Amino acid sequence: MLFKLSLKNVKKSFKDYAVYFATLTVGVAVFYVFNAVETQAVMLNVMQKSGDFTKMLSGMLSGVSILVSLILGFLVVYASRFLMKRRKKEFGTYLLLGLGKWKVSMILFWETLLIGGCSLAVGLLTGVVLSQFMSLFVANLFAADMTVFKFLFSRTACEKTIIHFVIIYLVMLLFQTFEIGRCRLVTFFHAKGKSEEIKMRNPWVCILVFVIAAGMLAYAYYQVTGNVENLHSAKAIFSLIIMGIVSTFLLFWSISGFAFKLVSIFEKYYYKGLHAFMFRQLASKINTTVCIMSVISLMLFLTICVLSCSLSVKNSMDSMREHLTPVDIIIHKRISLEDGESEEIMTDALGMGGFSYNEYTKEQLEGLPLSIKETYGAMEIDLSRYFTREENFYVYSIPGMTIGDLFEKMGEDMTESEVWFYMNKVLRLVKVSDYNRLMALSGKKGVKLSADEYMVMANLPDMVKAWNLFLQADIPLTVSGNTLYPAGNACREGFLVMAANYTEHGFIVVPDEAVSEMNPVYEYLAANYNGKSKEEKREIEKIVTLQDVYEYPESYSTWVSLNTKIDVTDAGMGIGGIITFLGLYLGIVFLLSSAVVLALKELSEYADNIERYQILRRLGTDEKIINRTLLGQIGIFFGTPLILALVHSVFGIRFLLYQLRTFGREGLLSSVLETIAVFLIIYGGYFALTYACSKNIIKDKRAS
Amino acid sequence: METVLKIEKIEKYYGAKSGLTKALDNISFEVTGGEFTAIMGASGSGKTTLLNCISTIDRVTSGHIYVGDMEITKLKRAALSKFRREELGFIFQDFNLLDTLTSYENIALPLSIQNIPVKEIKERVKKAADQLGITEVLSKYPYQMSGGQKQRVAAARAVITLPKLVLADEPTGALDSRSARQLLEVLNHLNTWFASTILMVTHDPFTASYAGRVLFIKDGKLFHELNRGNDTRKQFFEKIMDVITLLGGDVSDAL
Repeated sequence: MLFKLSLKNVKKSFKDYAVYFATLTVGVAVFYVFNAVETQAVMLNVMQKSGDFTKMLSGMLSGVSILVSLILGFLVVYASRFLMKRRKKEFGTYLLLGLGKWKVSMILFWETLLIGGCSLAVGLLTGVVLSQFMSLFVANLFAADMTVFKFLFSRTACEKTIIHFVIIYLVMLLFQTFEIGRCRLVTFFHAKGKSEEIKMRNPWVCILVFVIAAGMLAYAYYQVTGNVENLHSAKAIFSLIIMGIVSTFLLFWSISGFAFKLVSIFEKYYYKGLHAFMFRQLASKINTTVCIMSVISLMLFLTICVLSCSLSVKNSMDSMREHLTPVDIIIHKRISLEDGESEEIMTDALGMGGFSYNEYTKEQLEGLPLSIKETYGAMEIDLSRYFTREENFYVYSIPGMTIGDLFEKMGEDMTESEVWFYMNKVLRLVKVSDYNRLMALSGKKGVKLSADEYMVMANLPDMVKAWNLFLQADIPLTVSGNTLYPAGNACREGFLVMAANYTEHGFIVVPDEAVSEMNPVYEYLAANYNGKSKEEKREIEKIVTLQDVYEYPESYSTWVSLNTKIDVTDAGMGIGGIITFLGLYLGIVFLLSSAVVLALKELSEYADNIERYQILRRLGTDEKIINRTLLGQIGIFFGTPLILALVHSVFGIRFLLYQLRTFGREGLLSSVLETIAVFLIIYGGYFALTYACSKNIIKDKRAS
Repeated sequence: METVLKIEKIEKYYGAKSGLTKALDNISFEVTGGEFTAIMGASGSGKTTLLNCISTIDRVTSGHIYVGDMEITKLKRAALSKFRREELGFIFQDFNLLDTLTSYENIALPLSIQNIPVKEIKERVKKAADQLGITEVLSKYPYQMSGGQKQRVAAARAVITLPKLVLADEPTGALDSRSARQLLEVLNHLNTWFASTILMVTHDPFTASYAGRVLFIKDGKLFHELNRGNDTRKQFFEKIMDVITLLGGDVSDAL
C-alpha cells in the first residue's frame, strides 16, 4: 500500500521529481565518468606501455576526487532539500489523516529506493556511454596513433559509484526521517510561506572576514607564484588548496554581506525601478547563493586552469614535435676515434627497456671502415629501397677540444654552472653546405656564412643562454689554421638529433673550407621513408631500426645509432599525453558539473519566481523592466563567480605552467588565452540559455 | 462626481464549444469617484472573474470596460502595464506581498517602478504608514508580520500611487475577525482620507456591510443592488442578510 502511494507520488508530481531525478542521474553519471578516467586513459596507446601510470594517476586523482565527492554530495543534499520543502504540505496531510511518522518515513524510503535505484541505473548507463564519447573526443585531439575504438567498462568505477551513492542516499534518508520526526504538524502547513530567514549580517564582521579572506588568498597567490621555487611538498600544496577553497567561500560570504548593505545605502539607485527587488532576490537565499557561487567559482577555476594548461601543453608539444622531427629518420655512426679513445654505445638489446652499454675501441672501428649504408648492406638491408630522399653528412671535431675548452677562453669557470655537464662534450663542427642540405631535406631555410664566420646551433634552454653569453664575448675560433668569428651574437635554434623536446646542447657550423683537411668523426644519414600510409611507414621503421636485433650480427647492429620520427612521437605521448588527456577529461567533467549546478539552482527556484514576477506584473511593471531585472540577476549570479575564478586562474595557470615548464612554452600564453576565450564563449552561451529559459519560465502564461 | 468605472454589457466565456461556461453574462454598472462598492456572490458566481477583467489580468469575451475615459478592453499589452501601474491599486486575499522585500520596500515598489524620486518615495511611504498604523513594521519582512499587518501593508501599497481605482479581492478572506475589522476600517479610511474609489469583491456580508453600495451577482448576472444611504452599518448588514436569504442557499455557505 505504502509502496503504491510512493509510486503514485512520483507519477503525480513528475515535474518536481524530474529535477530531482535529473540531478541524481547526472550526479551518478559524472561520478562514474570521473572515476573511470583510469580505465578510459588506456584508450591511448602509450598508456598501456607505462605500468606505473595507474599508480601515479591514482595518486594525482585522489585529491581531486575528494572535491568531486563533496560537490556531488552538496548537489544531492540541495536537490533533496528542495523536494522536501516542496512536499511538506503533502506530508502534513498524511500526518493529519492519521498516518504515523514512521509510516511516512516508510513512504520516503520506498520513494528513495525507487528514485535512487532508477537514477543509479540510468546514471551508470549514461556514465558508461558518456565516458566512451569523452575519451574518444579527447583522444581525437591527439594527432598521435590511437588504438581502435574499444568499449571500456570500469568495474572499479562502477562499484565505487554504487557504494558512494548508496551511502549518500542512506544519509539523505536519515536526514529526511529526522526532519519529519522533528517537525510539528503545524510547520508542515506553514512551510510554503516561510522562505529562508533573511538576516542582515553585521557589516563590520563582514569587512573583517573579507580582510582575512583576502589576506589568505594573497598569501596563497604569493606562494604559488613568487615563492614557487620553494614549494616542494605535496602537503604544502594541499594546504594551499584548502586555503584557497576556504578563502573563496569566506570572500563570497563577506562580499554578499556588505555589498547588499552598500547598495542599499545608495538610495537613489536602490529605489529605482526594480533594483531593490533584484538585490533582494539575490539576498533572499544568501546562504544557498554563497554556497553555490563558491562551488561554481571553484569549478570554473579548475576548468579554466585544467583546460587551458592541458591544451597549451598539447599545442606546444605538438608544434615542438613537428618542429623537432622534420625527417623520418636520422642515423649516425662513429667513423673514427682518437688514439686510446673508446666509444660507448647504448643499446636496448632486448627491446624492453633493459639498457646495456657496448664499448668498442679504435682498433675495432678502423678494422671495419664501413659507411652507414655499407653497415646496413652487411646486414643485407638495402637502405635505398626504403628511403625516398636522403642526405648524408659528417661531423668533425678538433682533436681534444671540448665545449668547456671553448668557454674557458671567455675566462669564466663553467664547472660550477648549471650546464657543467655539457662542458666535457666534444666540440662538434658541421660544414655549412652539409647543414644546409639537411635543412633543405627538413623543409627549412638554410643559413648563410662568410668564409671567416662560425655559427652556433643549440636549443637546450640553459645551453642557449650560455652560448649567447659566449657569443657576445666575440671570441674567435681557430679551426685547422683558419680563424673564424661568430656570425651574430646569438646562437641559432638547431639540432642534429630528433627528440620530443629541446635537447641539443650545441654544435658549430663552419665554412666548408675550414674543415676540408680534417677527418670526420661521425657520419650522419637523414632520410624520409618511402611509404605513403602510416602502416607502410611503420613497416619500414621496423626494418631500418633493426628491431629484430637478434637476426643481425651484433658487431654491425650496435654500431649505428638512430632516432626516428615515429619513435619520438610515441614517446612524446608519455607523460605529456597523460597530462593532456587528464586535463581535458577532467576539464569537461568540471564544466559539465558547473552547468548542472547552475541549471538546478535555476530550476529549483522557478516556482517561487513565477509567483513573484506575477505580482510585479499585477503592479504594472513593464515586461522590458522585468526582463532587464532578470538579466541583471542572472548576470550577477553568473558573473561574480567567474570574476573570482578568473583571478584565481591567473595565478593557478602560472603555477601549473611553472610545473609543466619542461614541455616547452611556445605560444603558451596565446593558447591559454584562446582556451579562455573559447571557455568564455561556452559559459556565455550557457548564460544566454539560462536567461532565455528563465524568461520563458516566468513568462505570463495567460495571454493578455 | 465623475464616473470612474463604467462597465457595459460584458460577457466572459470559458471552455470550448461543447462545455461552454458563461462566467459573466451581460453585466453593466457604473462606479463614481469616491465610492466604496462591494460585489457579493457565492463562489462560482463570477465575481472574481469580473474583478480580473477590470484589473486587466483577464480579457472579456465581449462588452466594454472604461476606467475614466479610457477603454481598457482595447489596450495593448504594453499600455496595459502602464495602465495598471498608474491607474490601479490592488489588495489581494493572500496579500501578494513580495516575500523577499521589507514592508517599506514593498510599499515603495509601485513608486520605484514609476521612477518617482527617492525623497518623494520616502515622504509618501512614511505618510501612508502613519495613517495605516504600520510604521513600526516597516523594516520587517512579510514572514515576520501578522496577517492583519500584512494586509495593511498591502493596502498601503495599493494606494501609495493614488490610483483612480483600488481593487480588493476578498481582502479579509485570510484574516481573523479582529484583523478583518481593522482592515475594513482602513479601507474606510482610504475611502475618506485618500478619496480612493474602492471596488471590493467578497462573499462575506459583514465585510460587504462596510461598503456604501453592494452589488449582488448570481450565475454571472447582476442580481440585485443595495445602497447604504443613511443606514447604520448594522442596519445595512441586516439588509444585506435579507438579500442573501432571498438569494437562497447559494450564499448561505458563506456564513
